[in-house]
Amino acid sequence: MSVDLRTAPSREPRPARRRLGDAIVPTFAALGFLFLLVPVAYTVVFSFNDAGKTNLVWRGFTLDNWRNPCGAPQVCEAFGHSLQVGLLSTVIATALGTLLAIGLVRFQFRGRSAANLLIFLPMSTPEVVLGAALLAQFLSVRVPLGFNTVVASHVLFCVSFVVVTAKARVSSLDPAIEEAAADLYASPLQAFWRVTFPLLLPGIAAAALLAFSLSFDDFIVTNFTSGAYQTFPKFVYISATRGIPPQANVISSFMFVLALAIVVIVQLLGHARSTRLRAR
Amino acid sequence: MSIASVLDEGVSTGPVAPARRRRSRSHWILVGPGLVYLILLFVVPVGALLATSLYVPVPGGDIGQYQPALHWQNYVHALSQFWPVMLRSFWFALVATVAALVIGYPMAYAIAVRARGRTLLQGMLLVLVVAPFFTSFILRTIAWKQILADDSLVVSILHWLNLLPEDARLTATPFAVVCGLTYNFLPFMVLPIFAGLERLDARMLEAGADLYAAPITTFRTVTWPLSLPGVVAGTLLVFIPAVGDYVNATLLGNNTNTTMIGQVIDARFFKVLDYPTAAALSVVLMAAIMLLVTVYIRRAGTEELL
Amino acid sequence: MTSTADGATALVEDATDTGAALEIRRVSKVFGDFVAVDDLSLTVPSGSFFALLGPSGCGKTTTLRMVAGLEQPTSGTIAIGGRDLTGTRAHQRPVNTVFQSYALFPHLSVGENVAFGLRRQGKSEIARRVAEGLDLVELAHLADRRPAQLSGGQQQRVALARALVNRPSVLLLDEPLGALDLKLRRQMQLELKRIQTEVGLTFIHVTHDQEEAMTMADTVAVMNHGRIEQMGTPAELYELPRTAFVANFLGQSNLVPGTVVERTRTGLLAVDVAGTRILVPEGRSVRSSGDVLVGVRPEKLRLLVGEQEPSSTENLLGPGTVTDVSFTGVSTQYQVEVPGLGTFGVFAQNLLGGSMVEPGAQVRLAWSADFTFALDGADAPDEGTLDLDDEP
Repeated sequence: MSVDLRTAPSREPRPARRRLGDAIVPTFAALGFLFLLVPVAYTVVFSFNDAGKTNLVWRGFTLDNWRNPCGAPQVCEAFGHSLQVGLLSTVIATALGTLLAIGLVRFQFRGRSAANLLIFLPMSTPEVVLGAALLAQFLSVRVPLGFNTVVASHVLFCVSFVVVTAKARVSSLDPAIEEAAADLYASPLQAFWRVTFPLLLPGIAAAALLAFSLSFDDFIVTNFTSGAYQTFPKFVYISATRGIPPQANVISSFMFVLALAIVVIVQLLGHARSTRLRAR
Repeated sequence: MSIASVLDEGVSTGPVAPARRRRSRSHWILVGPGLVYLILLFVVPVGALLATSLYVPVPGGDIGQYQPALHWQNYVHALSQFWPVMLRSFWFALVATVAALVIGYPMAYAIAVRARGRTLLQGMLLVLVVAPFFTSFILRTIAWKQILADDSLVVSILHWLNLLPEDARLTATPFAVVCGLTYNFLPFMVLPIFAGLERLDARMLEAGADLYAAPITTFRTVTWPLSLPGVVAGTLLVFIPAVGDYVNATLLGNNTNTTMIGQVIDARFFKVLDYPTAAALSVVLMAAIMLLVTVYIRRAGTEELL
Repeated sequence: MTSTADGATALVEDATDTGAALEIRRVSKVFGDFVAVDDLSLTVPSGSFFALLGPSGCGKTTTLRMVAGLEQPTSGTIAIGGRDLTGTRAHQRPVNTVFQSYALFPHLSVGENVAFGLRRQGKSEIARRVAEGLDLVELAHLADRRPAQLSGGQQQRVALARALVNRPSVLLLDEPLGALDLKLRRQMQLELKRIQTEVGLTFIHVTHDQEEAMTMADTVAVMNHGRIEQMGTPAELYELPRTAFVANFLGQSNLVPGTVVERTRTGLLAVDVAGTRILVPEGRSVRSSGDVLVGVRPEKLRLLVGEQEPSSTENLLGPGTVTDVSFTGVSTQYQVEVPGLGTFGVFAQNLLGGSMVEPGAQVRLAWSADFTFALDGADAPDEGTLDLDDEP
């Protein structure tokens, strides 16, 4: 009886405590998102600032910057360079990385753990060291710095991330599915294009998106290996001392909205499809 | 009767074809190009960096002219001059990593566990984590500088609430630099932890809740250990770039007690043209990180990350 | 390796009668220092339903994969329809497989899955063939679904249709029913048998389930440690096992060691089992002298209570003590402990209803000498018995 008396009241407040506990995690998470997104919001807001040359204090709302995003010297040129570098590095890094991921997951071979280490090392090297090493190398073989050296460097730091992302997808793929393709008269090449590749596509797309975002936003390695070639982050960094033109905010905001829109559309399509499938 | 049969070993079946062993080399087609790339653009450059770290100035040459040598004293010189900066970089990165873990874990948990099943909400939240990648991180860092500036709203409120002494400021302080580091690498913490928690079976959490009742016990005994690989990956992905970063220290720091090693390496390379010192510091930084990462992974028992 | 005396002649007859669909000659497969398949030779005639039966790790799946072309033998040759296919790759062989995990292409619809092999071969009238294939497994109405939207049994049938539409010379089934629940498995066993009869293709079925192999196959080859222990019709294997492994792996057996003491004029061997004389037909013994294992199936045993006497053609052991009685409806299973010989299992049909004896009763065991078999005395009496840790 005495036990009952003691446990009975303590059982009552539990739901309340749990409700409080339930609220703690979302609250902290919301604060985290706030922390993450306040500077983004700031950047977007200041793309509408009637700033003139330096975009430091709010001077009033205007759409001029959006009407004329290339208004400031070199902004669009640098942006174009970043797009070119990003796209080319993404294509090369995704191809190399996907092949690496398939090879490493599907084959046991001598030197496999060494290969894994070789892929892990660039990820565990700070960008400043990567940049310094690449610059030392480019200087010693006298390669002129520019577009080519930037792309080569970006591919290097993107490959490892592509491998890690794609590997997860490859290892979730039942090897019997490829064997089934071979069993059903598909040559190795047909088996890859008709079965393996479509099944890996979500993983490859995720890896490519990651590679592009890493390349597009890279400053440190680019700064070491670009010489006089200017990418968008480099342009922003250099103009930071004399004042960043609001057009830079426009371009950044545009990329943010574009990325958001693409992913949201993909999400909605996927959501619509899965609801449709469930309805059948 | 049997319609098929085993042949006795004694029954000769005539000449038997010799073993046809085709050694498969197809894996080299897959991994070859990538590995060659990594060797040419990682192993060889790191070698070049090592070589450069031992160079000596050309006697009577211009500033920035060096010749091959094995001058290991470069290391002694570089370290004796810059060890406080090196130490500070590791300290800042450590604090930023812990802060990112404290902020990022609830975010990952909310997306993976609380939003489980609501695919649309989950997708949206993930997008919000990744989307800042597409706004230039330098612009966002500068945004912080404005937000925390001496005449900004945040600082005024803090002054008004007496949370910040009248003469104190937020920008150009170690606090600002660590904040910047935490902020910039936060998504790299959230994503791996999310991936780990997402794989976690919801029934396992329910079983834990069933066995332990108290949510905090369930978390300590079930959720946390299972999310550990994600946490290890996340902390590495934050710590490593943070140690070498110099953008935050340059934009958010002052030039006295916030200097990080990345700034020194960058300056030695581009301003002073002192390549050997820059290379020596890079090599030391890389070696120190390798050592820490190896020890860390061993201690966390997550060798499979390698 | 054991082979029945009539096996070799049967091979020759069958080879000339129907033509061999599959001929495996002296094939070995070695992984590192593990011998998965050890000098295996095997002929499967056209149109038969052949089962490779054995515990996990016995080499049956490796054998299947070598036939499919997914593995290459370390030595030996594999011929299909008289053509040596050793060294050719999976996509070049007229063989199709139903995989254990089904391995359906998740990004293709059921119809596209079934059409996959036909398209790769550039066949005509693909739509008609696909429809026929789906009709055969009664799934025509689900052609537009994705595999993930089907039940396990439906997926299994799609995998079957996907292989069958190609009309392969040999259809391989790798534990195709392993993932289904018991009731569905029984149903699919009958359906597979029906389909095989209907299409008349050669089926090679790999399984660790002895009941499945016996229900479906014309011929069963029992594999162990990379070799074939014994091959024959299900009834042959059950009634006359030639090794302790087969005796225990297919159903249950009571095996006791003994020594041949005499050959009688009536073609019987007299075996001394712990002082008791047991008669075994000479043709049912692997050896005619020396140490043997005397065996008898549990349902052949009869319990003698009190003064009951055996007939003149029966062997007799005991007395022993009944240690356990379990009633299963159709039959009652007894465990009888015979001092010096161990425990015997006895299955008795419930012809009269209820069990005859209670635990603790003293009984003797009798059975017809004609049902007795004798194995090599060097075999381990418990080889091939069900190990709970081993079986999936």
